[in-house]
Amino acid sequence: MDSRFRPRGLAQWNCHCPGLLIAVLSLAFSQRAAAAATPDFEQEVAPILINHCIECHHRGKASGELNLSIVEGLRRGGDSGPAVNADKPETSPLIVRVDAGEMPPSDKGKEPLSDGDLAILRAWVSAGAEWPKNRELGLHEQAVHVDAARTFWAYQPIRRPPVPHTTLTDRGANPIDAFVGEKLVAADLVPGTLATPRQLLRRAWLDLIGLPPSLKEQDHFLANPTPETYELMVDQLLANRGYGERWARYWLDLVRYADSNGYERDGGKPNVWKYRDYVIQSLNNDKPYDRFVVEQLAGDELPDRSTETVIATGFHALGAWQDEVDPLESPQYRADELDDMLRTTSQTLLAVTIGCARCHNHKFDPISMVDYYSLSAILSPLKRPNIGREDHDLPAGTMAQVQAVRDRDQKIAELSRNRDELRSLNEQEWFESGRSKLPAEVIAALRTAPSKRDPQQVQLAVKHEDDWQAELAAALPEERRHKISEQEQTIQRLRQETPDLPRAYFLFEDTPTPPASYLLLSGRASNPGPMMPPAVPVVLTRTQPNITSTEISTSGRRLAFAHWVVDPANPLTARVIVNRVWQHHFGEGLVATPSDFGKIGARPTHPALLDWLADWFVHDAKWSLKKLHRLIMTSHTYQATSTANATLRERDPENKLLGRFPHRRLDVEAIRDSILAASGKLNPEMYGPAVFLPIPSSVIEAHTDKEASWHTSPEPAIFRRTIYAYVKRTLLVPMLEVLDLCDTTNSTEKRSITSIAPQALTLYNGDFVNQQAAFFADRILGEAGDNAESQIDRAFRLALCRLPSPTEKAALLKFLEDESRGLTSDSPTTARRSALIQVCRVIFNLNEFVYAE
Amino acid sequence: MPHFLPNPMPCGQSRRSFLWDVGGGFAALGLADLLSRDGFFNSSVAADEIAKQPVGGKPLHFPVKAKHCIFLFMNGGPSQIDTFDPKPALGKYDGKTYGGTVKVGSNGRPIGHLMKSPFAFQKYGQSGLEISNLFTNTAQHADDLCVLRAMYTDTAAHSSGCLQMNTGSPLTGRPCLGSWLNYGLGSLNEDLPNFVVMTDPRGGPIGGAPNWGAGYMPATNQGTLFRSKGSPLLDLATPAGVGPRTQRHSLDLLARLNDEHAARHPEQSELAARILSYELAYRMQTSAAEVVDVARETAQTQAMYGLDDPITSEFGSKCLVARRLVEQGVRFIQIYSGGGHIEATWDGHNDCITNHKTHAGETDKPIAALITDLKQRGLWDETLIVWGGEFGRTATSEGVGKPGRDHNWLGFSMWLAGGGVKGGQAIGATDELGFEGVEDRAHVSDLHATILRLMGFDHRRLSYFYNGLDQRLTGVDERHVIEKVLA
Repeated sequence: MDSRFRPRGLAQWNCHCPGLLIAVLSLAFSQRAAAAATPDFEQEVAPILINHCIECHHRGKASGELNLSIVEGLRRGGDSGPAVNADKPETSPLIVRVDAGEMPPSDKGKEPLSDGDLAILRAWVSAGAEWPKNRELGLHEQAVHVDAARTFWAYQPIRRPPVPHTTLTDRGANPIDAFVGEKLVAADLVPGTLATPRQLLRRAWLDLIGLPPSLKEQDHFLANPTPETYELMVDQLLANRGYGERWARYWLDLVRYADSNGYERDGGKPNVWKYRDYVIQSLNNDKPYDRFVVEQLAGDELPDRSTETVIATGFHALGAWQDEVDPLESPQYRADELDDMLRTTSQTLLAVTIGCARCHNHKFDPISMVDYYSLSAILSPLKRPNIGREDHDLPAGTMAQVQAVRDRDQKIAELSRNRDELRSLNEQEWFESGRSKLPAEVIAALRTAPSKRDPQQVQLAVKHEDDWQAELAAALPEERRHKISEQEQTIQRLRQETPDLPRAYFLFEDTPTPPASYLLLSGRASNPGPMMPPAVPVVLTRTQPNITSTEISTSGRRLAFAHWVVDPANPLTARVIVNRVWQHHFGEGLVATPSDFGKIGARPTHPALLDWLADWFVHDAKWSLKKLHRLIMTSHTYQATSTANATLRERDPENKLLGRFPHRRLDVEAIRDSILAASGKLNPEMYGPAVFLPIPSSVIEAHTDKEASWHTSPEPAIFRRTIYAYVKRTLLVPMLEVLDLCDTTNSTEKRSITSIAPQALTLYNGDFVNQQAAFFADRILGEAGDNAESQIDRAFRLALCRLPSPTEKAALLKFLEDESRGLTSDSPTTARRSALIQVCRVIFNLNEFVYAE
Repeated sequence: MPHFLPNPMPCGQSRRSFLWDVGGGFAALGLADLLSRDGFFNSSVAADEIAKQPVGGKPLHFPVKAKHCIFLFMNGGPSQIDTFDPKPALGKYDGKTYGGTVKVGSNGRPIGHLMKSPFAFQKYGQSGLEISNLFTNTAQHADDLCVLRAMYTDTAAHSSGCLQMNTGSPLTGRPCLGSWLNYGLGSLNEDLPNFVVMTDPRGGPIGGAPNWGAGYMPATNQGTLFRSKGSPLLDLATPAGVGPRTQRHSLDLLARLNDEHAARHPEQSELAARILSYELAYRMQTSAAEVVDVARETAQTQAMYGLDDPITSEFGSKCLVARRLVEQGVRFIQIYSGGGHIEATWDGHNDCITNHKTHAGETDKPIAALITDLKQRGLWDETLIVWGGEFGRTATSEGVGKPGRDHNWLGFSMWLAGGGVKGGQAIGATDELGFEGVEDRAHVSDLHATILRLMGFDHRRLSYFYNGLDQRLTGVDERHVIEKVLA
């Protein structure tokens, strides 16, 4: 018997009169048979319709034109007429289709109804299919089986497993090697040998800094490449400021950083670059990851709020923004905007694809619509400081600082008003005295408000403004002059005492009690459901964060959420970031879907290692990313050769067991920056407003606003690292775009790596590479002199960190020779330089140049 | 045929092991096709078998009615009332104040009086389809046109409207129709980009590059900007000062060094893919330049497209290039009429009459020529043409006393023609004044569903997994193929 089929009140009867139980049960059955018992709508009928029917039959999606979420839909029915027929219940399509097994449709993977459920429906239809007034069934009411779902690996608490013993003799000192080694041994595989010092050197540089090492650095390390000097080098690289410039980019991909808003005007986000600099600085300072997260989520709500923590909250403001929304559409747009913020936040920090629960419960993960809208309520109090279509920044500082500036401005406003009154009184008196030497029409023009002057008056005013002011100054009585000067000095003093605050780009809250949030049925703002207090997804916690409004007049929702995110008990945060760091070192994460730790996502290849690392990261490394990098980079797993032996290649072609270091193409930032480093043109300037890289005119021609859209920065600004390049959402720098730059509007967990002909065109024929090839050639000529062999050696060492092989060298020498001879129109010197430029162009295009091995 | 790889077997491997190694990830490069033409396959049978199949792509759900799509995007929003949706009642109400309930105008712009169309409508062809005298040339093909008179979209802003027409969503950052077709259909010619966009010399569409972006799909699915004159593709030309001999020799040197490197890394199939991309690029230098070389066409053909007239030559040459691209197997070609803002596009806020005379004057003859030409060359049945903008325009003037029209997203016209389309009909209707669709309304996503259907796909099943969801061009809401369109 279906446990749900139990007439209401049975339990009480059972309690009071146990002896009656059997009799009552048989009565229940006979009543069901006679279709006389009326099932309770909320307790019995609604759950069936909600969990089995309305997913395809609701307002937003009425398959067969049938909407079973409201009584009108039931009565009107769909393509096959009314769904219920009270006179002949057995002929009701609702019953017939279910009884025949046609509904719910098994070909769409739907479970059939149980006999008990069908019986309830029958009884309900027979009794007239009563429906409470105005009751609309919602997809958000579908059951989510949270308890069972908690057993899923990603929601399990992180527990540190013991480090296994491995029989690989050279492994074990580093726990990473023990975990990886254990799996290799179990698969009867032997990992590759260590990479050569030269390979390790280049690998570590490209990985941590995104640049090849200089010759000096090469010489230094290769002179004594012991494990100790390697570790020392890793430490030095982690202290190198280039580390932040390289690794910040990965974070910017996740938070869909761009410098403009997109859409028609695609206006700049004022001062948004300070957020980019904040990320670089935070990484370079090894800010603990938990603090890094809290600052970005709720830096404005922190007790120790500062300019820096407020800049950090720019995190919420990075999405695209449509500044032209018709008032009728704006509630929906607001919902879309919140969705964008919510998806970015939950995917980046928690690897939860919460966006799937916007219109119905998550299809795969135990995340309900209620979870979605509760979490949305945490971000919904945030406001944008725009004025109409104009985007704005705001002063960033402690509340005391912000208040002090506000007070100061109030005082200054009052002083200015007094001063202006004195001046205007003086002007009035002077005018009335009739002593001015200026003609009447001039005075009339000058005394007309600038906005109200006619064209002639404008001219007169311009011409005589200075004379008028001189007259007024001369006429100013001493007492007033003194007063005005006093007021101006005070204003100056106030400005000195309380200087302006730095401005930053962020969203803000301004009330401890923001308006209520609502669940939106079918994700439509026009269809609000129940009110939703702020909360975090139920499956992820057993205790909801305690939300209290803050002293600075905000809701405190984000701060409570932030503390919950970085609570060591949160099962996801540490696993997610550890996996991301691993991914950028090895190309693939231990979980291959780094922003989706859900059921559809990948399972960890090394679950024990992931948990060990996550626990170690929180408790031993105290959330220090640099310590994590160091641990990883000093493992043999990281230092292994990228060349697979035959067995490894055959038995683990995808390198899931990490027997070798994966060979992979650099992202476009590292490619472009490496070219600049080799050519000697890299401009090391850090921070500040973004740089506009050159864009071919044919691409600008295809933009709506053409000339107005782009003002290329001058040299040498355009030779700065790529992370400082301006990202305009409607006009991307073609070289970056074609070489797989991330999507600028969605959170990117991992760049695509494609090999398409337009990339070859860009890198081979494009202006940038050809210009840099010439710089590179000139550098080599300057440093290596006339000897062709020395030139080739130097070019290889600068670009590839090695000397050419004899066959390579022979090919290159022959090319230089042939090319210089072929260019007969040039002088021999020019011809040799031209040939060398071609060699440099070829080197920048080598696979080896764009692959870290 | 330039011989580029010193060894016909890349990296000294056997053909079989090479194909095995490069695997599916290399599909975007058209490897089989490329190798077959390079003589990599000794057996011509094998080469033929593979050449028939597009490279990449997904299993089709329906028989393909059209292999190619040319989307003529009337940027700015053409007025349905003045083109394909006659409203005689407006004659009666001309100059009167509109008192109806439909929301008129957008974003607080002034609402003037009802304004009849100054353009005369006439019945054309056997079908008697009514078309205004802005399109007298196109109207000669009336029996081929299937006009959708009750289109609607979700937004009245240009950027959101263009994005919605191109990607199905008013929000930025989604893959375009062209991306979906490239992803679904694969490529028939790897020497050319598969999704080509030609913008107007006055500027691009509002909203910029996301109008041809691939969103969350890999960049291989994004549209490629193509110029109909000069060097068609970015960085296609050999750099200044580098002669053809040097270009060839340096590429040979690159290949040689890359081969030596690849031999040291036999497990890396990506390396071979990247090596071949350089040869493909080299080949593209010739093929792409050839495809825009309309001088190869007869004087008669050039005249038909209006290349001899400065008014029509710009759009005409793009239409002609589009036909040449179709001949070369390119799947999706989008041509913009109008670029920049307001009167430089179909956005006739100030003077819709002069505006539409200008833009229709530039495009009518070339569009008619394109239809004629495709028919003459036997490409008509396999090519779908889509005409329209991001929305339509209001029946009221914008402000009193000026002949401008404001945006109208509740009812506007588009037309389809060609492969699989039942021509000579108008589907749906707007209300008496042309404000809002009232009969057989079709959402932009219904149009997308219909285009996908004509090109072989069920819009509910063509999906791309991203962000925990099977994403679709037509989004999460229920959308329908406009069945009446289908021949």
